[in-house]
Amino acid sequence: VFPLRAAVCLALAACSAAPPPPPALPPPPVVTAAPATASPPPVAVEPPPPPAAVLSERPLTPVPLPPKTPAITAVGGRDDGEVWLFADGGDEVIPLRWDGAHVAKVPGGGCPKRTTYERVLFLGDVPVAVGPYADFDEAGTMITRRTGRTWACEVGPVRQILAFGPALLRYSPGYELVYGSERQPMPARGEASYELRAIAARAPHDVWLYAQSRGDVVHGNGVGWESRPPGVAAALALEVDSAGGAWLLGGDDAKQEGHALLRWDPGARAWQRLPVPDDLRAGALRVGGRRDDVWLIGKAHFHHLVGGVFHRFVNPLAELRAAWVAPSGELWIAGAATATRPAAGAVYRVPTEKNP
Amino acid sequence: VKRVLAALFLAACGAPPPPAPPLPAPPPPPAREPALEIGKDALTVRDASGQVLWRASHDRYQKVLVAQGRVLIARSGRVALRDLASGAERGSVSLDGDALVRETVAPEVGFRVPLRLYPAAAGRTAERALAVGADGTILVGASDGSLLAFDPGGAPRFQTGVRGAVRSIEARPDGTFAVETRAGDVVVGPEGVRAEAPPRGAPSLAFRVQPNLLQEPPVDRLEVASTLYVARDDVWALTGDWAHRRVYHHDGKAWREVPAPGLHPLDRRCWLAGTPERERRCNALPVGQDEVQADRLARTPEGKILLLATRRYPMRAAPAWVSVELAVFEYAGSAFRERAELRKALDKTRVEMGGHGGLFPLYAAAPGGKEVLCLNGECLARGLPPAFRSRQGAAVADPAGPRGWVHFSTEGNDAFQPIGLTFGGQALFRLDETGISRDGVVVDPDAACGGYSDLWASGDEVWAVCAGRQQNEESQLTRGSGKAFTHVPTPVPDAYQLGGTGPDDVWIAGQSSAHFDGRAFTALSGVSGAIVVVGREEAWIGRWHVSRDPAPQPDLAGAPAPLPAPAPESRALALGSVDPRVRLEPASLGIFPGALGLAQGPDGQVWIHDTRRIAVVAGDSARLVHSVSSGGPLRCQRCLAPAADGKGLALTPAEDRVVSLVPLAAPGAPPLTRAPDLLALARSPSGAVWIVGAAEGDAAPRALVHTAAGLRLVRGLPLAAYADVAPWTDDDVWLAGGLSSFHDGVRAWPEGEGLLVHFDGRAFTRHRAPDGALLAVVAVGPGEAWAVGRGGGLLHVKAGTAEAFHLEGEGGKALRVALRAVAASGPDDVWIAGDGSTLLRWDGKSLRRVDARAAGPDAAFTALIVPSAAPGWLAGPSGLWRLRPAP
Repeated sequence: VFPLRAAVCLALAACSAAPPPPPALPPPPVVTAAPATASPPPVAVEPPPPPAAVLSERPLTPVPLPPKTPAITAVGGRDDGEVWLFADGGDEVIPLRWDGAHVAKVPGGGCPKRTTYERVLFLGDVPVAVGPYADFDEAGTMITRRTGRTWACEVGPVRQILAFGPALLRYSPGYELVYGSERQPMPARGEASYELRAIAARAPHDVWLYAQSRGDVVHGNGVGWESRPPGVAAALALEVDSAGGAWLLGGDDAKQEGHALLRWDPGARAWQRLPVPDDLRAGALRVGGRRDDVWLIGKAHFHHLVGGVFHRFVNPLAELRAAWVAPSGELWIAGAATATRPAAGAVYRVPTEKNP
Repeated sequence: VKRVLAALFLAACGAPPPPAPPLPAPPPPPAREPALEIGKDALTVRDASGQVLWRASHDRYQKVLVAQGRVLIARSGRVALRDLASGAERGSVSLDGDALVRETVAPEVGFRVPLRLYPAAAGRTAERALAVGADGTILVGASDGSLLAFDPGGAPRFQTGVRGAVRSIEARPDGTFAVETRAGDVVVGPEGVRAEAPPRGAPSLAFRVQPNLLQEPPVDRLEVASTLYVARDDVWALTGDWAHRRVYHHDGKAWREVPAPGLHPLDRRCWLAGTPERERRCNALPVGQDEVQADRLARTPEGKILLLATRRYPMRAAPAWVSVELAVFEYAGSAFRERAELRKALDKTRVEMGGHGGLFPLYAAAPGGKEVLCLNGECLARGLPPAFRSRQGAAVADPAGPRGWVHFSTEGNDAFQPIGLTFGGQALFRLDETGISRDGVVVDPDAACGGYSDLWASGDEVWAVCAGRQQNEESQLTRGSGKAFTHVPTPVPDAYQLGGTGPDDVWIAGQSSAHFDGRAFTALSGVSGAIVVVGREEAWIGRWHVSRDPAPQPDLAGAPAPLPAPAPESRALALGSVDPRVRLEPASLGIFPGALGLAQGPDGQVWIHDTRRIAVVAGDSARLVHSVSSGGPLRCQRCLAPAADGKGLALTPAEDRVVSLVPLAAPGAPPLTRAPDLLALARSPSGAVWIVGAAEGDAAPRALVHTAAGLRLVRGLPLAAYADVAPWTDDDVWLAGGLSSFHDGVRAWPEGEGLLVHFDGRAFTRHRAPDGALLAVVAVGPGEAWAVGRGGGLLHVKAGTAEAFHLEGEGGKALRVALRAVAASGPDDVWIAGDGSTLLRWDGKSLRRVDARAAGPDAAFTALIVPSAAPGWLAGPSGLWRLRPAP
């Protein structure tokens, strides 16, 4: 047997010799074998040569923490004058608050231990910390809200959680998406959809789900879902911007830092791959409020793309656990100052380029 | 990419695909063709004299066909070809991801052809099946119901669709294909589908479905664990979850709680604490702090009301375990009191178990003081033969029947597995995992069931339901008498419960339910729950009172549509320049930041709805007319059919996937009907309201018509999932949808091949939509309609002729966005809206964009009302806009 398969290059070869007509049959309708599917094609545009990153000379500003503050695991704020931080004290979680000038510990409130808060959200004015909760025989997500001067805790199934307006958007991969108490449409259930474990959203009706392990990305508009494959092997992180687009950090493997930056162009309905510096390696990204304002956060460096220029910063943290972009455009990074245990917490404010 | 490949393919060939190279001529046939013998593990070919020409290995998973001098050996998505006479291998036809591949030997030419799917919800992965027919036709099916036929050279022959996912395809010697789909078996010939899968069950409106007392407060908001119906003014309900059980009684006027002071939950802090906190807390409980959990209501032959409960003690040595025994409470005038004198006897029923798993008491009684009470295989009985005191356990049906008792035993820990039947205390038949046996001999192995879920008997008549022998397997219904058993096809695929008053009045229930009148079943889609028989042909099923309609409206029957030929490929419809005559202006209606549906009544009044509220637009505000308080969001997008004077009909969510048709402006009025996955309704000029749905089950209504006389079922239309309906008149109605159905967690959607059905008052005509399911339709004149749908597909039908289009954007690139709404003021003024902020206008000659940048670049538009003298409306989840003339 001589397999021709790909070598024959499809049916082009079939054109070379006109075979006799097929057996007598009713005249078939003319169809193509493969009309396009609903999904836009992956990006095939080759990026131009990579730009070099400018090593920023702007200093990082350390944020003074109370003595003996352990490693910070979550940071987020409502504005530059109200930033909440959560420190992992082993047997206890320590909430801290930045008031624009100082960071002070805030009395905790009896929430079960063994929670590592990863995200700080706001329901209106109310700060909400969210993170995985694990006990010996159960696991879930802890949602802790600041109610007056105390904290209210709620343990639920393992979920990704975002906040919009007065309600939470809760996503259980492959199972349900709920805004407030109202279920939202879900993608079709299947092997692929269960891998869509991460979520980003601009609103409850403008939601992105992506598979960090395999590069699948889908978008929901409140009515239906559309596959938007970015053409990367791993979709490590995705965040939306205010212009209707989305930024995606892609890589070769979910276990390694990524090196590809793509932006969803809503007008063209396609991903555009941006040229990036050769040394870009990042595991997370954060989007700022300006046009094309993206932070790419890696273990060794982080890069800030703004005004079409990449600025590179050296990561001062031994262990980077959380990052947040303030309305002023500053990036807050938080984690551990030392790799040894118990780790001391550290927080830095990374300045942004003004009027690039 | 596929489209580009297809275009390359066509461009390279310069014309329609070349006629296919046929399989090379087989060697000159001998006087008599060699004969193929298919053995258990070998294929053997002999010549006319019987001499073996060649042999090949074979197994039972291979399907073998001899055609045109070739042997086609099919297995697992690959068909291997051999010369019949020589046995020489001639390559194969196979599937490789999303491509069809022909491998062969020179001088034949192989090919690789990309395969399409219909546009579907993201997240779906395709599974495909393949067969090569007797004439060389290659047929590929997929889980989206698509069928693609190619000639032997790989040139496309036709594309079409069938209902349900294609599971397998087998080529038959007569040149046809047997296609097994999720909906049933389909016959496909070289020209297309010849016969579709027959329906499994038929919808009916023979029964009235009204809310029962369980929908009255406060029970309407409580979980109901057990119901006991004595009379219309004497109904009992045990409510709440396992930790908060309460008993309510309805005296014909209202529910009132009946105290049961002996019931109390275990210290929940113990159970709900995490490990190791749980151990510490549970161990700290004082001895004797037990939980008494009510499980079931029952009535003795003397009319006493019993509350059967389980008393659960935590086991100090193993806190995750409890010791459980029966407890019996009896209603004593004003409250339930425990029958303390039975505690010593009930101590025999004690079992130990982990956690709070389901252990339910079983009880039955008959006149003459006969009673039997069991827990997990431990039974107490009085007035009965010794068999009922067996450690095998028991439950009883038809205690008052003429033949006495039916007794099913439990062996092991599962209370319903298996069943042994005894009449009058003597074993007659036994149903279990080996089948039906008599005197220890299996007489019907086909009835084998590892888990009979319910049993019902009346006199000699015995029914048993096996709730699926394997996962995803349909329930099996076995009906018998004292002499024989038969298997009854059930219209409720997941049936698990039975009830009735006699052989001609039997109810079965699962996710839907049905009634058997002694001759046939009548399906009751959208009605599910526990069966409580309250009279002849009258039952409570869940929270619904079901009774035969004494004066049902006759069905509106149309002659079924003949099967249409496969649709030709759609034509590209290029988008012209932006229409400068219209602009989009954000609108604000206070409580509606966005909306899903819009409808205009005959008086011009505009109605609007989002996921929770229905309102009438009045100037710059909206007057609320209906709120959805329970049952899930209002997501159907065509939920409203306004009439004059603020009245109208709406589709509102009930529970699960069931939707109710309700009259608005009639507070408290019961729903006119309820059925799964009803999606759209529209008023015809006569005032009749047409309603369509996209349910998966064949027994669910697909179309209904409501007039002043009542509700009629539309019968005879193609089985499909309908998303929209547009009546020009009552004898000129359009129904649009797809052949399959998909549920996204909040509503159903049509999927697969699209179809547009026309009803002329007497017969249905069906048109295929080649670009996928249709989501919306508008009638633009007599016998003329536009339908739009997934994948940027459009279908225009005029005077019986259909023409399919797909959108073509800039650079000739297909614009595959979902089109979700279409409206028109006439044949030359058709407006289309959809995803990606798509808003288009057809003026009779060209299709132009309307500038929708005001909505952002990626909005979904779900409803629109065309501008007339007044500005138009456009709605979607992210906003609400007016369509005004541009200055």
